[in-house]
Amino acid sequence: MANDGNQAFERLVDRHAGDIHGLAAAIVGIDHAGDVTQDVLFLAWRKLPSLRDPDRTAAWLRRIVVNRCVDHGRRAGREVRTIPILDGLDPRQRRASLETTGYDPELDRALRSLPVEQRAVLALHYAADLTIADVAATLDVPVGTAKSRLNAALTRLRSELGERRP
Amino acid sequence: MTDREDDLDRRLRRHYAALPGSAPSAVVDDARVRIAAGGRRRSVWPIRLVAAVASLVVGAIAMVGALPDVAPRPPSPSSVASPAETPSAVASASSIAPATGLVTGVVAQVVQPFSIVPDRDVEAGQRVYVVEGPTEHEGSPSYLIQHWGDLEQGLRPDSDFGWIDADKASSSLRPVTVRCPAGVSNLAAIAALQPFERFVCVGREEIVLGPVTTREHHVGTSSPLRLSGDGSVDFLTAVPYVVASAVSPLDRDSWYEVTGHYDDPGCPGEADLVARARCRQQFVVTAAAPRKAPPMFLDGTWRRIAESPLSGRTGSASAWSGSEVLIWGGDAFDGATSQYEPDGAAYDPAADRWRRLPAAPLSGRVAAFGAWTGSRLLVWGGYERKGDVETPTLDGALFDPVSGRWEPIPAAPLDPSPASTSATWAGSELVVFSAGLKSGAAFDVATRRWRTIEPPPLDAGGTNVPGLVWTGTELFVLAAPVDDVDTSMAWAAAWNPATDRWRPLPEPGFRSMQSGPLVWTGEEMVVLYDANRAFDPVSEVWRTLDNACGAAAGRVWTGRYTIEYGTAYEPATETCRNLPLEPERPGGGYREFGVDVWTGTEFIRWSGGNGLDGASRANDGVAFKPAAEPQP
Repeated sequence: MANDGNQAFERLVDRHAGDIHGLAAAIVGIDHAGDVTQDVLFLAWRKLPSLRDPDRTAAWLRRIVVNRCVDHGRRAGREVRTIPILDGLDPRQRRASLETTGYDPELDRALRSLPVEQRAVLALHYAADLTIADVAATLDVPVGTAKSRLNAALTRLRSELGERRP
Repeated sequence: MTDREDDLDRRLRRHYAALPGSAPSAVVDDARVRIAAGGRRRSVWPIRLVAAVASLVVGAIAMVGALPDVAPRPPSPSSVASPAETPSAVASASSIAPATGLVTGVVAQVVQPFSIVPDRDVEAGQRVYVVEGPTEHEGSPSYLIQHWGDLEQGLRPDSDFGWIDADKASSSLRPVTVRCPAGVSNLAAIAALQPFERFVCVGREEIVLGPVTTREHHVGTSSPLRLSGDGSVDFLTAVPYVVASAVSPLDRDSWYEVTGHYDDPGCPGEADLVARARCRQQFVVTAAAPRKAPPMFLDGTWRRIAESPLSGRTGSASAWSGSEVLIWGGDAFDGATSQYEPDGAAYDPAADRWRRLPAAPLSGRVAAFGAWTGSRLLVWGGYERKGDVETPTLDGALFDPVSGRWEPIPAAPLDPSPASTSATWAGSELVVFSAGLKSGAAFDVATRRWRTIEPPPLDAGGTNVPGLVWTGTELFVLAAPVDDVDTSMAWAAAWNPATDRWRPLPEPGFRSMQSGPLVWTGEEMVVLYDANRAFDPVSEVWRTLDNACGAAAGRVWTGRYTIEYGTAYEPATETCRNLPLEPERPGGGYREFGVDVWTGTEFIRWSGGNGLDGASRANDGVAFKPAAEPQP
């Protein structure tokens, strides 16, 4: 029923929109997070009826977010990598974020130099606060693979940060 | 872990914590609009994917005939509803000379982009409504502007109001004449206009619309009640309305011919210009007379079925035996704990009666596969729960409804620890896969033996959980490489059980995430949801299906229609029709992840989550019988 679809969507928004947007922002930056979030909400609404286990919705959504971000990153190429995570905010919000939060411009620049796949694994572990096992489940890879991807991302990140240090 | 790693760890967490903790409402609203478009039109703001909206306008134009240029009511001073609102009155009051023709009540085209709210441009080529002006605002001559977006790039669920300086307005806006449909007498023609254009074209004239029904759609600040010509709540085709105080509320199960108007005299005065504009742009129903549903509705009736002896649940295995709906297992979640039930029941629709099934030799489980073998209910696989751990199962059982006996099926010779499994019935065998398509097996119900089957010739490290459908001679499989489940192109192949050989099928040409359940019509494999394609194995050609019901169809095949969530799609004629509304559930909500079965004459839906609180899984059920029996 169409109205049922509305209810399902509103429930989806209530429970998951914030997490979807937060994870997308951590991977592709705020400027693109809206597009990804909208895509994911739309896809999720469409695919909900085929979801085997509704109790696993959050994990399922995280997987879609990562895939959409990777897809978005591949399509957008360099463009996505040059979007700082706070560029989507208006100047007032950006200033507030810079002043009152832990926004780290140096780290942001370094993160943006990483491939989107590495940003995804970092975001799942540090932004979504998933264990390595949950990161592996989200990416549908063995735990060892998730560990090695995370280590590779951290190594690359340290390298990027090191290059910028005086 | 080194100090440097600790430091980087902390920096990352602190940095990510700086991100906003919620999705911007505009993003969610955009998704609402996209969903409201139902897949038939992917109208998104600000994503520009709305060619189909133009087709809506074209369609509406076709319905009303040519659209002559009609002077809208408010723009010219002589046609403004109230003397107090005439441009001359405004200009006189403020002693401000208007830009040429740019006065209260005018629809204007944007020639230079500007903004009336932060971070959102009013783009060149779009149209706006001049709510008020020119008039004094914060010390300078200004215009109050209303902006919805546009029909080609997509309207937002709500409009923006904002003031712009008169000089800016005169350089950015050009008054235009609204192309009003001749004899506005159908809902599609009205809906195809921008909301302020509806008001401009119709004004206070009483118009008659029908047949229409009522639906609720809580988006934006307009009334959640929508007049609908097709039973949907599509944002772009259902028109917000209120009923006049003398009119009874419309019934969502009924159809009407309604009389009504815009620009209601009871709207508030000019103290609140925005509220006044919103009110005047709302359709007010002043009379309603019953009418028959339009032909786009599948004629038929719903009935409630007898109360089940089973607890309400989701994820049950089910099958139609020819005389009974057989149901087993499922998750009776209580809001805190999942209870995977090890019981089942049979429903006889002819007698409207249930009976319990004897105890099965299976652990309680959810999402088990169910099929009718011709003489038995087959239940296989699914997921059992031990403590907090949920694990796939590889065993199953056969139930003979005549003797009332269960017979266990040994565990399938699959990957011993698969993350997921999939299964289908293939005429005489149960065919199962694990880990996408990496490991496969077939169970012959005649010999009660398993055999392993060749995996498909894929070298990308396996696939996601595949879609499976049996054609009578081959098993068709639709899947995607596991590394890119939601973004990569779908891959299709056919498996022949007699030779245990795979053959590739022509590339489907759509992304795997676009596909829903597969349906075999007897001639074609149909893939709905966003894919909307059909594959003919004789010609080996994929064809595009028009007018598919978007996400709305695909779960149950009647022999003529796919049915799901209130719509029925006929692939042969590429026709989407709506079902009458289902009887409401006790306590409200709907029926998701429950049992959906076609009996040959009725579509039966039993239990499922209500989709509201995650816990309520009433054990009620309904059955829909089409008036004209579907022809296979």
